[in-house]
Amino acid sequence: MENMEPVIGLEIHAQLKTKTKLFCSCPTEFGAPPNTNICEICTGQPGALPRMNARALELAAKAGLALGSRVNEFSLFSRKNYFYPDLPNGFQTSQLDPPICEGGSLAIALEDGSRKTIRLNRIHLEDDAGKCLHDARLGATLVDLNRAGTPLIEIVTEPDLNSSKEAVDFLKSLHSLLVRLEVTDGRMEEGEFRCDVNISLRPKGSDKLGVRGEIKNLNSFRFVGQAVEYEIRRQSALYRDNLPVRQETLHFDSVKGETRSLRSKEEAHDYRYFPQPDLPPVYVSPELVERLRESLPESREDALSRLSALGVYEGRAELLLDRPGALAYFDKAYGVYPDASRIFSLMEEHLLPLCWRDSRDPLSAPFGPEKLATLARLMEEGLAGRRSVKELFPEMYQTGSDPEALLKAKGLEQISDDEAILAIAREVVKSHPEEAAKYRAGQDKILSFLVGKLMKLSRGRADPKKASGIIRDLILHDEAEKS
Amino acid sequence: MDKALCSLSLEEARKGLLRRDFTAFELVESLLRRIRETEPALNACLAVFEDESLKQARAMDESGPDPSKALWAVPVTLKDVYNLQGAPATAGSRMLKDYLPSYEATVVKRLREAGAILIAKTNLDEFAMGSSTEFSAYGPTRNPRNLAVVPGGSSGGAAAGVAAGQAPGAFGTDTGGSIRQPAALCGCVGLKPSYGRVSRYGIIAYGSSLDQAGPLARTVSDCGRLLSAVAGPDGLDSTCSRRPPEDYVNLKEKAPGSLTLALPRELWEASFHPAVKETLDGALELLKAAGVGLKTVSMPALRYSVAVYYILAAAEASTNLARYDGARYGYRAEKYGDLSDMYKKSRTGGLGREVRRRILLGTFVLSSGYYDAYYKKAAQARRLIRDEYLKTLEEADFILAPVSSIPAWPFGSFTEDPLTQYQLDIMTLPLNLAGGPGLSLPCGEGSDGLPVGVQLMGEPFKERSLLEAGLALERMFPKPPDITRSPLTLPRG
Amino acid sequence: MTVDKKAALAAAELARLELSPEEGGELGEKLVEDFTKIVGYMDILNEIDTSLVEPLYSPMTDPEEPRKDVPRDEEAGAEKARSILEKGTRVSGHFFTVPRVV
Repeated sequence: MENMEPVIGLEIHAQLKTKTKLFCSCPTEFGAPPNTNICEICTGQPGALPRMNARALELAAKAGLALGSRVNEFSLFSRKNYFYPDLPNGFQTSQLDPPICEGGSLAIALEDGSRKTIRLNRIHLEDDAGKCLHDARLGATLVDLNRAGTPLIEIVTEPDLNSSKEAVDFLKSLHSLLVRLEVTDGRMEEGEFRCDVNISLRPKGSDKLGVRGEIKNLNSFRFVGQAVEYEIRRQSALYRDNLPVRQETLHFDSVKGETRSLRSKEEAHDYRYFPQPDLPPVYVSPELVERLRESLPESREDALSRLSALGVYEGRAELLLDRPGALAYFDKAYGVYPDASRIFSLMEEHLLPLCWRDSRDPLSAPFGPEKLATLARLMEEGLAGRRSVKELFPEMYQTGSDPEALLKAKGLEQISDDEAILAIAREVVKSHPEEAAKYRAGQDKILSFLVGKLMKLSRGRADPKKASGIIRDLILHDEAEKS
Repeated sequence: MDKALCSLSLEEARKGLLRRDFTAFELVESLLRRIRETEPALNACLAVFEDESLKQARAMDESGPDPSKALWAVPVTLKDVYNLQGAPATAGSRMLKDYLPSYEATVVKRLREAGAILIAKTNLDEFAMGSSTEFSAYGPTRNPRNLAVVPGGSSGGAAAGVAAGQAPGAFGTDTGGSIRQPAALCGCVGLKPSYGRVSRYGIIAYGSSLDQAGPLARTVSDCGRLLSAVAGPDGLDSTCSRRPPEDYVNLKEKAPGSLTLALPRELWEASFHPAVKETLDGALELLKAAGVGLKTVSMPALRYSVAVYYILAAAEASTNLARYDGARYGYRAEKYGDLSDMYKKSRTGGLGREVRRRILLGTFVLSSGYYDAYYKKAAQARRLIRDEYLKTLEEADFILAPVSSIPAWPFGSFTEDPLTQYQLDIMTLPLNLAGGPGLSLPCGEGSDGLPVGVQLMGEPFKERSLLEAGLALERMFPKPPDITRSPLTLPRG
Repeated sequence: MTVDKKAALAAAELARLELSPEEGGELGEKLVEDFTKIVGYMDILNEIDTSLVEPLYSPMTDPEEPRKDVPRDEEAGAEKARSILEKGTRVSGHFFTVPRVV
C-alpha cells in the first residue's frame, strides 16, 4: 500500500484548570469519594439552572490566543441531547455554532528539521460527563457524578497529519503548550488530556478524503501511536483486499493493541442540537482579549533560547516547559541567586522528580525557589556537599526547612575549614603510610584513594576539592620536612 | 370575626396584622379551616402545611409585627413546581410523587425573607402543560365559581384557591398563559411579569425561554406587593435580568383619560362564546365611557402564535424533561429489562399522556431533517411576533386583549382533542413569545354566571406602570362576587 | 410536510417513550393521529417568508454575567451532596445504580 497515505485529524479534550465546575461551584478535584462533589445543578435536579464559570471562558480564550485562533466576541452554548447514565440532564452543554475560538494552528518539527503547520478548525467549551463503573457482582452499572460538569475545551484540528509520529508529536507539543499556559494540568492518567483520532487513507496526491474510522478516547501518547499504526494497517488491508472501509466508531484495546468497532450496527445518532435557553451568549470583551494576550507567557522557542543563553542546554531545558510551574520556579530561584546551571541541576535531580511523583506544581512545594537558591549558594560557597544535599533534599522538600539551618542541625554542614581538613588528612596519612609513600614515589593515581579515605573519615562532609589539595600538600610537605 | 379573616385581601390582612387587630395565628387558623372546608370540593391543594404554618405564625406573634417586611405573616400558596425543602415537589406528575428537593427556589427564599407564611402547595397540569388542570396526576381541580367546570390552568389550583378564600395570594407560573387564564376563569387577578423579572431558579422547568413566575391575588395592588417581594436580579439564574426592580407597592392609579390601549384585531375578531362576547363588549363600553382611548390595531404575526409557541415550548420541554429517566431520582418502573427498557418504562409510566405528547412533538421538531422547517422557522417567526408587539407599544400605552374566547368549560371537553385546546390558547401565548409583562383581571361575568377576564400587556420591565393602569381598570369593571365564605359542596352522587 | 407514523415512532424512540394503551396500543393509532394533526397545523408557518429574519431563541435582556471561579462552602456542599444521594431512586453505597450498560 505504498501508494496510499494516511490522513489524520484530532479532537482533543483538555480539562480546564479551574477550581469549580463549568456550570456550578462544586470542586473539580480528582479522587474525591464518589458522588461527594455534586449539587442540584450537576446532577440535573428539577428546577436547577447552570451558571457559567468566568475562569473557564478565560482559559479557553487564552488557549485560542496562544494558538493563533480568532476569539469570537459572542459564542453560544447548545444542548446536545442523548440518554446515558453518566449524563444527568439528558443533554451535554456544548458549543456548536459559533464556538469561542475558530482557526489557529500549531507547528511540529519534522525529521528533516523543517516545520509543518497543523491547522486548527475550532476550540469550543463543553462540560464533561460523569463516570460509569460496571459492577459484575451486582450485575449493575454504578454512576459517579463527581466529574459531571467539569469544564473542558475541545480542540479540533484539520486533517493535516499524515503519520502516527506526526500525530504524537503534535499532541505532545499541544500538551506542553497548554500545560505551560496553565490552561490545563494535563494529567493524562487522570483523563485531563485525551483525544479522539479520525483516520482515513487516500491515494497519494489525491485531495479527496477517504472513509474514516474514529478512534475514541485515547489517554496516552503511546496509545495514540499504537492505535494509529494499527488502524493504518487495518484499513490498508481492507483496501488491498478490495473490501469496503466502513465509517465507524472504534475503541482501542491497549492490551491487545488493536482497534475494535464500538457500535456494530450503524446506530442512528440524532443529537438534536439547539441553543441552550438557560444560558446567555458567552461574551468575550475586547478588553479581556487584550488582558489575556498580555498575560501569555513567552513562546516555547523564546523560552528555550533564553535558557540556552543562561547556560541550560536546549535538550535538557525542555524539562522546564513540559509541566506547569517549573519554568516559573526556575525564574524565581534564578532571580534570587543567578547561577542557572546549579539551580537547573538541583531542580532536575532533586526537586522535579519529587514534585512529579506527588503531582504537585513546584511553586506550591514547601521548599520554595528562595530556599533552592540558598542551597545553590551554599554549594557554590562550598558549605554544602553533593552528598549531604542528596541525603537531606527529601526532608527539605517535605518540610520546607531552611537548608543552612538543617545542614547545621544534622551536622552535615560541609567542612571547608583548612585546619579541620588538615587534621583529618593527618589521620589518613598516619593510618596509610605505605600509600603515602607510593604517592611520594610518583604513583599519582593513588592520591584519589587517599582522598576517598579522607572523605570517608569526614563522613562525606569535607569539601572534596579542598581535600585533595590539602592531603597532597601534606604528603609532599612532610617529605620536604623530613629531608 | 374569624369567618371574615379568610375573606380579607392581602393588603387588608397585612394592615390588620400590623395593627394587631388579629394575630397571625388566627389568620392562619382561619385559612386552614377554609382549606379543610373547601378541599373536598376543589382539590386545589397538593400539600397543606398545617403544623408548620401554625408554628411559624405563633413564633411571629411572639416576636411582634415587623412592618419592614413586605409580607409579614401573610399566608401564600405555591404552585407545586417551586422547590422548597421538607415537602415533595411533584409538578403534578407521578414521576415526582415522592421527590424531595435538596435545595430551595429563589422565589421561596425571598418569600421567607419577606416574612410570608407558606401554607400550601397547589395543584396544576402536570409539568405546567395544560390549560385546565385536568392533566394533574393527582386529579383535577374544580372551579369554585361552578364546580362542574375547570378552573383553567395550568396554575388552576392557585387561582381556585385564591378565589375561594384559601389564601389571599398565590404564586404560579406562566409559560403560555398559565397565570392569566386561570385567574380569568376563576375571577381573580394574575400577573405574568416580564421574562427575566423574577428568578426561575428552583422552579421545575417547562419551556425555559417562556417560563415566568408570578402572583395571583384578588386585587391588583396585592399582586404588586407579592411581586415586590420576589422581583429582581438573581445570580443563580443567568437569564434573569440585572435591571433593578421598580416600586410595585406605592402605586399611583392612572387617570383613565390619559390611557391609550391598542386592541389587536387578530384577537378581538376571533370567534367568541356569546356569554364571553357580551361581557367583553360591556367592558369596552365601560372603558370608553371612562375616557380611555381605544385603538384597533393589526398584528398579523399573531396568527402564527399557536404554531410558534407549541413548537418552541415543546422543543424546550422535550429536553428539559429528559432528566426524568428514572436513573437518579423520581419514579422508576418496577419491571424492566436493559437500560433502554428502564428509561422507556420509567418515562412512559411516570409521565402523563399530555406531557408525553409534547415531548414527542418537541423531539420531532428538533430532529435531523425537521429542525429548519419547524424549530428554526418558529424562532424566526417569534422575532416577528416580538417586533410587532414592541412596535404596537410605541403607538399605545398598553395592548388590551381578551384572556379566553370561551368561559370555563366542563371537564373532559377537549381532553381528546389536543389541537383544539392548543388553539384556544391564542390569546395568552403572544405575551410569552414577546417576553413582556401582562396583567389579567376580571371585567365582569357572563349570563352563564362565569367570570370573564381581560389582559393588559405592556413594555418589558414596566410592571409598575402596568399595575397602575390595572388599578384604573379594576375600578371601572364590576368586581366578581365574593365567594370566600360560600359553602362549596359537591352535589351528592 | 406530511408526517407519517414512522416519524412519530422515530421521535418516540429518540425520546425514550413507549406507546401505551392510551395511545392506541402498540400501533399507537391515537397518538399518531393527534401527532399528524398537530404537525400538519404547524405548516401554517409556511405562509410567511422568514428567510431574512434572525431567529429569536430567548427574550432575555441584561442577563447575568458569568460567576467567579470560587468553590462552594465546603460543609454545606457536602451536606447537599449527601442529601441528593440519600434521596436517590436506587443507590448502592455511594453510587446511583442503573441496569448494566453493555
